[in-house]
Amino acid sequence: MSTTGNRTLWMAVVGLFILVLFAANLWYGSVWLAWRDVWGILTGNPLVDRVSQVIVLQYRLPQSVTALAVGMALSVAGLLLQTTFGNPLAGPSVLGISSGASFGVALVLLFGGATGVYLVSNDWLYRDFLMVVAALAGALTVLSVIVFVSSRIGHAVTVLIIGIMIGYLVSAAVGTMQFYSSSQDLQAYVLWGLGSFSKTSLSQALGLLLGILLTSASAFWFIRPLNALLLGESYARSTGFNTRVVQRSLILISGILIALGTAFTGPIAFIGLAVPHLARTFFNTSNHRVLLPAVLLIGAALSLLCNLIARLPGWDSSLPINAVTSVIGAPIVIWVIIKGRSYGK
Amino acid sequence: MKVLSSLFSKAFRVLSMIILLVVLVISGCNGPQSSAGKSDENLSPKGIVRYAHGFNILDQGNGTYRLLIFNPETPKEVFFSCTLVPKSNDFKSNNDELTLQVPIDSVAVFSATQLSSMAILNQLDRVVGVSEARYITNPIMKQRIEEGKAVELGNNGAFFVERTLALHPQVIFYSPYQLNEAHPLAASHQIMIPFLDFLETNPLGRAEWIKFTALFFGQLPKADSLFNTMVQSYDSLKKLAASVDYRPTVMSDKYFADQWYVPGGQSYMAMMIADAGGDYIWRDDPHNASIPLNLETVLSKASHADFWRIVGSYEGDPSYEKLGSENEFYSHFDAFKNRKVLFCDSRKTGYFEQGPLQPQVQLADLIHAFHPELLPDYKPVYYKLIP
Repeated sequence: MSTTGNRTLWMAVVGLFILVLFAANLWYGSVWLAWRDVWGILTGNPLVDRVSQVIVLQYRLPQSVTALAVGMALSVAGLLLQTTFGNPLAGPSVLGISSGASFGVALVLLFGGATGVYLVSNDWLYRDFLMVVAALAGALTVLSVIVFVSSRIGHAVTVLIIGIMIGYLVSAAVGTMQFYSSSQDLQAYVLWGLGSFSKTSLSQALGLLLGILLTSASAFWFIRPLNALLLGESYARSTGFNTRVVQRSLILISGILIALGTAFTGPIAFIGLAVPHLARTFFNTSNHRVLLPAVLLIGAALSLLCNLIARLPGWDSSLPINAVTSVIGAPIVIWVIIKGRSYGK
Repeated sequence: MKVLSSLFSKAFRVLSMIILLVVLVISGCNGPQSSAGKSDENLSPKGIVRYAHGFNILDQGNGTYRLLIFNPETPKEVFFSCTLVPKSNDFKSNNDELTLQVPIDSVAVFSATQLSSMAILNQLDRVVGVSEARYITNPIMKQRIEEGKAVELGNNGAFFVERTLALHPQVIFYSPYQLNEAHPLAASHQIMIPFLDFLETNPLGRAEWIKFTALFFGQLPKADSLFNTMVQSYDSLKKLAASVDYRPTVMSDKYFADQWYVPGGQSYMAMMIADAGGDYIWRDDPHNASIPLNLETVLSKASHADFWRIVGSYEGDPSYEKLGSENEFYSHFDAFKNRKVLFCDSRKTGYFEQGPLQPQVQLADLIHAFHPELLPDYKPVYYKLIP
């Protein structure tokens, strides 16, 4: 697998996997649909019954696109953070960015009634919109604190620890708010925290995908400094990069990716942490020219797989997506720690 | 390639683990639910409870009663028992079972339904402690809280232990989620009695808990006659609806944060819909609690249901515009398109407070909606079709 040709081949294989998994996500679910009907619905055959059309076009399709997009976003963010901080256990939740987004959502869900933001309208869409804005604001606030701290301190590990502490502070604030909120609001927040790929309409999902692809594309600009960072900040500096600018840009990119993902779906566990390790092992490299496209592809595939399992094809109910990503992600992370050699080779 | 093959074998192991886990979760979900006990045989023939499964009252003569509360997990097992004696009576207990002299002077009541039964029995002046004070709607109770005659002792499942110990009501009625969980006040001398009406799946059984409350205040005869009237009118309405030829299909509840919780096929609501001459879509489901369903499951099973029953609350009046704006999928249900959404505004009707004590009114509401010809001049109280 060491030659470039082989790697391209394997990328193509993973890409094919994504296609298969995406098709399976459209085909399989609690309700059994014939593949002919699914195909008919996708190609606009008006003869298929209306309920099946709604299920495929308005439920399964946006959910699959969201799963694909969020899997990409969190995986790229995870890779950038792991390299930036030189820490194999860095991930979206570690820096407190997910917690920041959660804080924004908690403000809306738990205090929306009390603070009067619902007075304008009680409309569901309006609430969803508020949640997205609040999550973005929360994530970017934590992020700017981290960027500010990193500009003062500069040392990557210190910033990582501060990120974890910010995460704890935010959790404490959210916990206190939970205590004083009504049980109905509390339930809404807890359920949001379990994560879900099915809260987006098709246009939202496509917009999300576009935003995530564009943000991820900007990371390709940083391939050379990313590779230099692997050998340490001082090495990167000696090769002529302004490490401070590079690190801050990378943090900003990953922050936007995490905020985009979290706002629409709730915090999704482990994908951002696990996928970069899978990519390094799978492609046996730490070169970001390979790793960046690899995490995009593997992230999308893993996320689609998790969504398919969570949907429990054939059963009437479904599992929370985080239960599935954790069950898949945690063993991968444990395996990485035990092997202890996939990072930074 | 070696790395790849080892990766695949690892991946396979992970996958089989997940499948195992999923199977375990599913089998857990479908496992036997604790069916409320039908354990009348182990009681003395004097047990005066007819519909409820969670408690029974044994008449010991001389105005003395023995109260038994059953463990809902293992219905034949008595979870709590006590003897209630009139204050005038010079009763000597011959065992170490708890004996209470009634009427009790000061109680803490944490269930909204139980507060309603206290109001019906004119006993609110004995309530000194409540929980979730901000949701209390009864004007007398609100005034007592304002005047400081009753205080909040709990909120969101948390207990204000020190305040409770300082107040020391004679009895605290509480509604635990987990009966076997040690209570924070268990070590003190505070008397704690579980109030489990919400576990009853029979509408009349849930209402019968008014007898339970009445017992502590010497109001059993009054509760008994109220309950008998309730049973009579419920039964005659049920008989009326049993005669119908066509039973409209009924779906229930809304999609909420990725799950659609519907009442189980053996639940309170399922029974009431059946009694009202309706055909509940999930009537064959074996559960008595609510079950979480996938949106697509509900869409495919219930999109042609005739009626859609919702309990909720809106600012202002409910409308199809408001309901439809919550979720684009709602407009695909026939009941939505044909304007057959049966809505109960829980806040304006006091559904959660008084509803359980008026099963006959709820039943009449449903019959009026499903079979208007049976109750032509009736004015519904809880459930109204959204116009």
